[in-house]
Amino acid sequence: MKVAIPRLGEVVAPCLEYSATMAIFTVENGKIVDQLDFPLRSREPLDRIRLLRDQQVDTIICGGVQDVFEDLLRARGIQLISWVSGNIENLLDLFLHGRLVASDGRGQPTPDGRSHQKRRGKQK
Amino acid sequence: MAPQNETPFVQTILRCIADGVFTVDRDWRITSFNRAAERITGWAAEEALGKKCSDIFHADICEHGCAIRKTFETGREVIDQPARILDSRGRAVPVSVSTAVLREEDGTLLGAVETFRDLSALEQLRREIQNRYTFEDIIGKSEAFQKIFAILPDVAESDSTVLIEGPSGSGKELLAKAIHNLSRRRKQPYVVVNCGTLPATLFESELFGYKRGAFTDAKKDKPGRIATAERGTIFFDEISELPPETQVKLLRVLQEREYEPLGAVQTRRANVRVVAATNKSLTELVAKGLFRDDLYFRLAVVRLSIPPLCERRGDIPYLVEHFIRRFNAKRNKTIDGVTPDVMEILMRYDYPGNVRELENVIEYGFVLCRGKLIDVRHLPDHLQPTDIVPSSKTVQRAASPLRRAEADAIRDVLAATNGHLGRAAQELGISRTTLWRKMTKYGISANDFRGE
Repeated sequence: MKVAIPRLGEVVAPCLEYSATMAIFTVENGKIVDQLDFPLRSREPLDRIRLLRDQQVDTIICGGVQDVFEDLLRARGIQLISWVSGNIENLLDLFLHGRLVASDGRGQPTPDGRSHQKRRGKQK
Repeated sequence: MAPQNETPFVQTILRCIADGVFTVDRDWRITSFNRAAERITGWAAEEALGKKCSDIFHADICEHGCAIRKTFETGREVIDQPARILDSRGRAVPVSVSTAVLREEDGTLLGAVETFRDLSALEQLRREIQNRYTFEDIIGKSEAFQKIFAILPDVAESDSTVLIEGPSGSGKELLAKAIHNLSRRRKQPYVVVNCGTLPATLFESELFGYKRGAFTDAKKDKPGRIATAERGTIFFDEISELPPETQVKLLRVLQEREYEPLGAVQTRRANVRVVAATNKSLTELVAKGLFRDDLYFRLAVVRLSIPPLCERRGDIPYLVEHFIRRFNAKRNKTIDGVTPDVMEILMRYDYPGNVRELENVIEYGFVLCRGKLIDVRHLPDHLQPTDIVPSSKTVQRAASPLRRAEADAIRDVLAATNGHLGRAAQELGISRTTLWRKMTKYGISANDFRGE
């Protein structure tokens, strides 16, 4: 399984479309076995979708995402855990333990480092 | 909501101004958030306070070019920096941003203030004037559209010829433009040929161009639409109207990538991507011998079918909201939506003119409406309640007293929570998005429940 996270340093980038770096993690048996960072120069949605498609990403954990872009990604069968913020390692840990899941409907943002639960992302 | 050191006088000013205003402390955490900021971002002040500003604004400048960072680093104001933020529903909002530092009287840095102006109306007008629409303008949450969205990036990237089928007014041209904008040819020309409006006698010269002296009035060389679209995309709208003699020449363009301008002796190469649309069944025209089958098969490498609006009624509330935003910008009005009765009528109607007809209905409402909500009396005559012939599929939905009860329940909870969407959704046991969708369906505006 592959998990993509647009990153800004050690934290999730504020917006999927505008992030300059996409980190893609390979997960096997519940553990991260590989990580690759992809610099993103183009802001064209297709270029990002192409990268995610070529890397066979299953899940994206991200901050803000434009509704039409979200529709495009979900229509391709990519799971989106969106509108989350905070430290990437913490989020991945929550995700790998099944405690960060996609939720229906946009909720409310929460402060960094507290629950990470935002609109789409939900901490169980 | 305001920080403690704001006087009531300052609070009143901040509440009344049309631009969004917020302040942050030295850690970029929001300490005040005025009413216009709530309106533009879709976040209530109490939801925003204490959050980092990037958690609320999700702007394109957050990573590189943050105006507040510049102000902190230089101590200087930033004036009218353009940016795009995402509102609470994930819609991109163009804004211009200005920032300044806030200091105590002794010079100690307190934080910064940012004002931002919503430029949506301006951008909408610009797009109207320039006719520049993108795939973001395709409103489709229905299953049929989701299927199209799923393959759209691959279709765009493939460079294959695409045939878009769908009734008039269903958005075929938007889809064609989206394919171009998502393709590698996006920086090259996009040329539209409306086959239904060009006289048959002019078709070939328009399409392929001509050389000087090719006919009496050909005083100089003129490039055709195919040459104009070189390296880009050419979109044939109403391809079924293509004259038979031109069909064979277009076939050659598709097969051999070659054509000859009128009067030319040399063959030209064509590097264009062809996208075509039709509101008629080309297979039926082929069967009747009115359209070449070889051309049909060349065109229909990838077929995308847009269903009529009556087969995707779930998109109607989204389209209504989209058109209201668009006409608010175009006509400088501030209409919030439509009443529940209007939404019910719109959901029941069968739209022989499809999305374009719905757009016309909303535009008609804008002409007559003087208030905040488009009411039944603002609808065209043929949509007045006595004239509506409900489709058999939707009678039950429209007549259901449960729907009225649901709308009343939403209003009651919104009244009890002063229009706070998050709390109202929690109270009702539904998600914020579901609440918003139901409010749109029933024409309920949260602003009506927010006190002064």
